[in-house]
Amino acid sequence: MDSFEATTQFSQMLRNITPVMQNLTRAAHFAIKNHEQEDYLFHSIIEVLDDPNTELNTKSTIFQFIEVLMHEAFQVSQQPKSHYSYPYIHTLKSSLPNILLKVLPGANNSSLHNVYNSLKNISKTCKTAYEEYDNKYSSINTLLSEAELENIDANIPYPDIKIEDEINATDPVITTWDLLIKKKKQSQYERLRLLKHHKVVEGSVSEEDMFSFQPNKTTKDQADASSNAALVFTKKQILMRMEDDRESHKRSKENLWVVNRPKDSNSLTEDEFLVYYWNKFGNVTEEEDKSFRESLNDLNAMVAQSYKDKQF
Amino acid sequence: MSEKYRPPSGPRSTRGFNDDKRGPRPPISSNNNSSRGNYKQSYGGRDSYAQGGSRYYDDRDSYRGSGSERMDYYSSGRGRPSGPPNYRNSDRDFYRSSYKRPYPSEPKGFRGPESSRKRPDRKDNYGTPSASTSSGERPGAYKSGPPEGAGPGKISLNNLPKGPRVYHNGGRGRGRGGFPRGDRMGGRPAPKPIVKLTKAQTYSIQFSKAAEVYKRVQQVGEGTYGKVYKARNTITKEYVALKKLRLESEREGFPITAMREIKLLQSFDHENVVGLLEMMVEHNQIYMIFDYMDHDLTGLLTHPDLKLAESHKKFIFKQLLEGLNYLHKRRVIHRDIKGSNILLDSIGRLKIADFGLARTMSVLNDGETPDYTNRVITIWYRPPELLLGSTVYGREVDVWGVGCLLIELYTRTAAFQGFDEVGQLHKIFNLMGTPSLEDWPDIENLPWFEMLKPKINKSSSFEKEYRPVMSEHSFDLAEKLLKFSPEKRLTAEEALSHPYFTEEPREEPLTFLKDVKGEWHEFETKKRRRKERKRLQEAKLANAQSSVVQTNNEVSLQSVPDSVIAPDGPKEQQ
Repeated sequence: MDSFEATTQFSQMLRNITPVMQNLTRAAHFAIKNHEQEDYLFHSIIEVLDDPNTELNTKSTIFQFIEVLMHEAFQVSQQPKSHYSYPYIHTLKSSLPNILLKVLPGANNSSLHNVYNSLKNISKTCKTAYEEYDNKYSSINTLLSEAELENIDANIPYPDIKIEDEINATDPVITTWDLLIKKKKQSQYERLRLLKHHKVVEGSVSEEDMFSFQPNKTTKDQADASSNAALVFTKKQILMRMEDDRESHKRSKENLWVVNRPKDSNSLTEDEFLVYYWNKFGNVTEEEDKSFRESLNDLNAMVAQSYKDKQF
Repeated sequence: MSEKYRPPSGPRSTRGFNDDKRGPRPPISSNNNSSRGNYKQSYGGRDSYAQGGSRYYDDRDSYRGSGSERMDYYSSGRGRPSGPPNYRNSDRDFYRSSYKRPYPSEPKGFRGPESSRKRPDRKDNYGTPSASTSSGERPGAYKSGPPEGAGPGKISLNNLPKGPRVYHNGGRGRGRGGFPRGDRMGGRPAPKPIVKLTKAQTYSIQFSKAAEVYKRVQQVGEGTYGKVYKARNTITKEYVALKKLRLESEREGFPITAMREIKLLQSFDHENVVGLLEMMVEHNQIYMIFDYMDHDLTGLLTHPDLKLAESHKKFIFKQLLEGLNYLHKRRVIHRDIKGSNILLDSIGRLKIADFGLARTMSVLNDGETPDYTNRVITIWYRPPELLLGSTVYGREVDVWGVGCLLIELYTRTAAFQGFDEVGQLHKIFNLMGTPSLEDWPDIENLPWFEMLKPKINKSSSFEKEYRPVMSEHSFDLAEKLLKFSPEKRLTAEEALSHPYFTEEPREEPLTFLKDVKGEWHEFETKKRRRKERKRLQEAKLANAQSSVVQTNNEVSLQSVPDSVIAPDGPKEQQ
């Protein structure tokens, strides 16, 4: 397959991608198979993300695809006698911060949660320690600085998030985490600002006003709506996203039982058995240990008493 | 084990083999008898037990065809003083058949050496002491059979199944080979009158199909799981509910969800939770059988003339909470709380039903979080955290639904009637106001919050709308059950100690329900509504036609607003 053919086919795939695991892995395998054309294929990923006609849902799915691609690329390269040498990993990793900003454009953070999940997996694949950032992400309220709180009081919009501000980190994955946390901060900041400064509506409000999603395509200013398309969800898209998320959640649970077992042994090994139960049960707490010992002593005393003659 | 169920012995194939490939069986010495008996005790019995099941039908079939000859044999054997009943033959056959069989060309005496060669092995394996043990002495053997000296010729089920074998063997050379007492029986036995079998014995021969135990009366419910019927037990005359499982769409055998439901139901024992009476398989259908309840909450609340006093509402709601508290104490989340799953009998006793979506909470170690599906609970009763995509939730999701039901007891219509997730959340925010930072601190970490973030601040109109129509304490309770943040919602137990239940008027059973005509389930209510709508539509149509004729004489039917008829209830989920 020449580079042109591969690129066309690949961007077609990306444009129609759905968050079904099969679909994602198929695209990933296509990319890996054609790793000779890595430069071209990588650019078609960026191209699709930059296309203003690409829906937000698709962009978020492409981020999931990147997660899958990196994972698969690692997998195939780590197999013994593999003729792959970590295709795509470097290019994707170094442009990850850029990609993130394309998936979460402007002030629209609808895909934040999915990106967060994917980034967690990417960090695992790249063996980047991310716990600290993970914690930061889920306790965002404590992260707003004094200055930022003052800005909220003063009703100043959150500054634009730009990639240029993030050059200090050495690992691009960490940079991406920083950006993601900034995004979340932005979202929280704007929410606080809204709670503080917007007037409270008394009467009934319509669905569109409450969530300000794009009204279904019957608006008078069609032109405006289409230029906006990439940035705002329609209700239908929201519902679709929900269904997709549920589906991928279900799929993610389907593999829970899978174990990593060496090829030649198909039965449960002692270790596996032990490790399973070791992990399943937590440590005995001091309290539990104490109460166990107490009842053991009681039992012993009772047994000792039951003998007619003194035993020991 | 009842004798009735004793599996017959001896595989059929052995017989076929016998007939086809072997000549008449060599006579067996009486020496062999006793040792064979022992062998059977120690080994064969065990073995043939395991195989019994599959052979059952075969044996029964051929048994039928050969009834009279068998009888001959039985009666003729009357005089035998001892010796194992001849099913042991079959065991021997069976035993032998599993080894390379000697062909008829083999010397007649082969059996002796062979059996004596094999037997010690068995003894080693199973540790039975010696050949001299009499079979009757072994208690607890699967089929000890009549002891050696048992009533001669006595027909018992012990020797029933060997019928066909007797036929085959006997037909070939009765008196000559194959039978322990062949010599004694000698030539042809005198024909004896046919012995009538006792009822217990006919079990395996004749199977008269009993009339259906449960007679269906009518359908009372329908869902994705299948249909529910009201039925009557023809023996006890009690009414029951039959829940027919829908298996047509199942390609992978019995649905695991139904398995889960049955397992849960079996573990329940509380007056406010339905109990599974039994399971039934009939006409290739599987039914779950429950106590029949006359009404469900949704159905009852649509009754046009029914007036519930405060005490009655309290009676209903208290039971609902007691049932829920029981479930929650047992770490079960119901996950489908709604009016049509709350059943009531003729004096208002309440049971929580339908555990098709229920699950037990997983036991977690430190640092672990649960991970359940958020596609549960009928949308009108679904709490905001599920609408925002939470997969880390707990018992609180049921409490929200119960809160909705409390309002419904007073207003008779569901408080939040959304059409889809977005609409449902909008309905909730519109009434309860958009959540503030204090209302629900953790909301920003829910998966779909960014997608469904309210873009305006809406104040709550809950109080304005519901305080006037509810009592003081019920309103307070409802408010606490419908907190945005799951952590702030009351638990079922806390709700039970709310002043609502301690203040006057105290709860009172709904004795008047006895006089209510008919049964009120959501199913029938929907049917009635459909009918009503059809009637209205026809009237409209007729009206439209007549209005063509008499344009001036407008009939006011046109002006009946559509909203008189409530929608068909929430969409079924899953």
